[in-house]
Amino acid sequence: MRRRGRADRSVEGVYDALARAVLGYFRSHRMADPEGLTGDVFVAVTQRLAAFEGDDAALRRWVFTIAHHRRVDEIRRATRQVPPGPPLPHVVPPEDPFDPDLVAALATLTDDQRQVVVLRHVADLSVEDVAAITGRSAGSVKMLSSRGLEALAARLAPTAVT
Amino acid sequence: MDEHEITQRLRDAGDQPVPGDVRSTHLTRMHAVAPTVGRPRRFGRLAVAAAAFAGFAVGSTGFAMAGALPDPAQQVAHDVLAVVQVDVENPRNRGQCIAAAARTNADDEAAKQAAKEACPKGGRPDHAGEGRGKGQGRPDGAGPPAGHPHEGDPCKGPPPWAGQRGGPTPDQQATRDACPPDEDEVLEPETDPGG
Repeated sequence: MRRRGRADRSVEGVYDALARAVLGYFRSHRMADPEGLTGDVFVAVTQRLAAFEGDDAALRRWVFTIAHHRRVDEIRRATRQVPPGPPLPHVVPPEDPFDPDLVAALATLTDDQRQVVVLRHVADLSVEDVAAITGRSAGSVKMLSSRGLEALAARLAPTAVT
Repeated sequence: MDEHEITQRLRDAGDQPVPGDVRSTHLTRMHAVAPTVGRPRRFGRLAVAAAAFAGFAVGSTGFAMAGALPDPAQQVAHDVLAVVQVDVENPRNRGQCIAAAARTNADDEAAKQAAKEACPKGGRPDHAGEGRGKGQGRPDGAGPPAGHPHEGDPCKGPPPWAGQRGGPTPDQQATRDACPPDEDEVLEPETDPGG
């Protein structure tokens, strides 16, 4: 179990507890600057941490809500900067040092599936938390997660054609 | 690859250590926006509010003890502080009025005497020349102010308690009751309670 009791609520404590997952979240979405975006998230967390009240699960949900919004804002910003012409990918896929096959497989999912799968399993959030962050029902989250995992399994199977 | 293996790979993707230089950069940015991080407040908001209230209370009490508050506030202060046995000037207390008049005019016997005479049966000396508003008479029961057609006649003009909070004191009422009826006053015949 990743969560252990009540985490250290200092700025550094919160960072050390959640930065890995936040960085993995942005990498899994193949964002152009996952490290910069992670820093943005924790700057926002630092500014509001004193006013936050809740247990560790609520803290994790809150941080990934910030991360989710930051990702959406970044995609919109990148989309606005695209010059007129044929549509270009909204992110530049970086080379993932950890698991490039996984990241490539995630890129083949629909946006909704990828959102849910990454929040459920990379960010380690509950179905209810994912539903709250994405504005979906719990049933929808379960369905999207299930289909996303099936697609990943098919994509990452040893006999899959890439 | 089964679902369990997939979820494990996803979980591992979220558990990779942050490079040291990246961590340092992030923490520097975070501390730049949190200048009070690690510096505990000396006094909480509650302590500051309590100190402000205490200062206000002490200051107000000082004014009350000097009799410097407006009559309504002075009366309230007198009533409140009497509970804790702190004696401040009661605007309706003639004795305190006399004492205040003596303090104010310590060097001028004539002024002192005039101020004492102006003390109401239960109130403060009215300040000469200061208007008390339309329809208000002198609280001392001595009649309308200077220049009024009925100057000096306590039975004419607005009652001395006009504009006074709490209505007439017993002395004021007694003085007014002693006045003869107005010439144009129509007295209602007394009804027989027995019917």
